[in-house]
Amino acid sequence: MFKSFIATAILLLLFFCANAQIVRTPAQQLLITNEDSLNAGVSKSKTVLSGYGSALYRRDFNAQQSTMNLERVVLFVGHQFNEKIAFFSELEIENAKVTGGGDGEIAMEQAYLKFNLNARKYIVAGLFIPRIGLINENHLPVNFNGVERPIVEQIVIPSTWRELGIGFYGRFKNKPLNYSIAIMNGLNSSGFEHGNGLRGGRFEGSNATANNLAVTGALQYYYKNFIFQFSGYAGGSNGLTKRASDSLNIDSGIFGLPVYMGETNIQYSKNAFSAKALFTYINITAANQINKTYSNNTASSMYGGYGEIAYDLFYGKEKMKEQQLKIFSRYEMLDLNSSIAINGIYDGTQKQSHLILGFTYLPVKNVVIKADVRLVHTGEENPSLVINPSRVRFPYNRTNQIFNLGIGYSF
Amino acid sequence: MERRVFLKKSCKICLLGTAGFAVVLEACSPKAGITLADAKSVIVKDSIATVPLSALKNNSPLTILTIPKYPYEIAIEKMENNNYRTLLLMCTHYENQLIPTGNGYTCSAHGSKFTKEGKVLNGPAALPLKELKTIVSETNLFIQLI
Ligand code: FES
Repeated sequence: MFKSFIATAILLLLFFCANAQIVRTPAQQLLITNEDSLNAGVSKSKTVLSGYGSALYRRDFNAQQSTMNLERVVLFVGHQFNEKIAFFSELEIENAKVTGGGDGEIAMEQAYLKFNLNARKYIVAGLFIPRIGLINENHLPVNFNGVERPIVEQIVIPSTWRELGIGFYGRFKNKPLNYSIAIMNGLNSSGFEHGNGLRGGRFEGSNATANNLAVTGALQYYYKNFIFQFSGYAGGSNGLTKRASDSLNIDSGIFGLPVYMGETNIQYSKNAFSAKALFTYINITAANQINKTYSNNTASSMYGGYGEIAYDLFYGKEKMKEQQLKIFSRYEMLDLNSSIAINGIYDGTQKQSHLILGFTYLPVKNVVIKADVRLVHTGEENPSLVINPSRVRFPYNRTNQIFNLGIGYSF
Repeated sequence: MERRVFLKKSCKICLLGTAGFAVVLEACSPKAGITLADAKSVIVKDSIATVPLSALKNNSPLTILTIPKYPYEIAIEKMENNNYRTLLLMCTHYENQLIPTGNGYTCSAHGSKFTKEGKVLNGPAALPLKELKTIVSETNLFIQLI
């Protein structure tokens, strides 16, 4: 009797509990069904580790030389201090080992603090990569076609171009328009090298001069399957003091020996098809002063551009849905001395075009196998720039073919 | 002199670019496929955001919601049968804020891309976007924030 009373009471209780749920507000229902909110959270302090890397085989047919290289291994370490402040870093080892005379390098590719102002705006401070071009911000091997990064974005835009400074990034509230503006240390014109654009003039966070500074900004607009970007850079390339500059008779100050860069690109992707195009132009108005002081044959202006199309053969194939097999073609053209200073020497080999044909295979999202052929064509060699040639040197050939095979990963 | 020529040339290019860009902006903005919820009408209590359905723009396929003091935006997509898919716009790689594009989401930190449904399109992110628990009543959406 007592047992059946207890059983009835429990049943009644269960019934009332069940009915009580019906009158819960939707918000109450969410609260009682949510276990995640106890364990997860966007504001917890945490440290994350990841990275990327790539290795390649290359055959240069003119030089009759094949090489293999562990191009880079990069380690990301990030730490979230709280929901407002985070740390991002990338530590890179290039060419596998670093020795006295070798060309291996250990370098910080990024190391910055990020301060979130709200969900659409943030500030970065430290060593960061400004938004210029495509590869600069987006340089993981799984995310671009071709074993090598586009040549234009290696030597005209010297990716990955990182400097020390402060940047403000944001997005408009009611338009899909992103903007960024940053102030950073400038370049070092004594490091410019003939045939290497601005590359040698970057400080990359190492004892940069801050007598000269640079400003850079970008606008990015997203519309359906398109992304449009405009970016610009203006910065001084003389970090010497006024006294030292006066003694060399060169311009000094924050924008002394200025370098100006403009860049625009457009990307399109829909289903299996994607395309992109980029153009950049650099002007160094005081190239004659740089040449007079450092004798490095710096050009007054240079430009580069490329267009690429790609098609994913596995798109829409149910069996291959985790994989991608993109065939692509990219045409690049550049001229590192499109105009020269009065004391500069023109070098036709710096006017180049590259046609790249290849494929990018991703067996899973973050692993890539790539192969391509690059057909190179350049202008004439200027004999006055060939000083003490080696006796085993091949005569200069204006065309060349390069075969590349590479692997890469990111996680 | 050289500087003047450069400035002249760049100004011309910039003017052309800006004009083209303005035309694109003008042509695109009303149909860009993304609208923003009226954040002022959102109430957050006990980690639950109450969003009046009237704050979501009618017939918009996708609404991006900014919640005051919450570090990430939320994408609300109206599905069939009066259901809603609510994605937290937090990159699953390093928890960076995502940028809504016309056809998905992208992360400027390391280049991950996600589809409109939150699936990974490009790494390094490996996990899909987090879907937030959402309940709809006649007048409101209730979103469980994490
Ligand atoms: S944080 Fe988004 S890709 Fe790394």
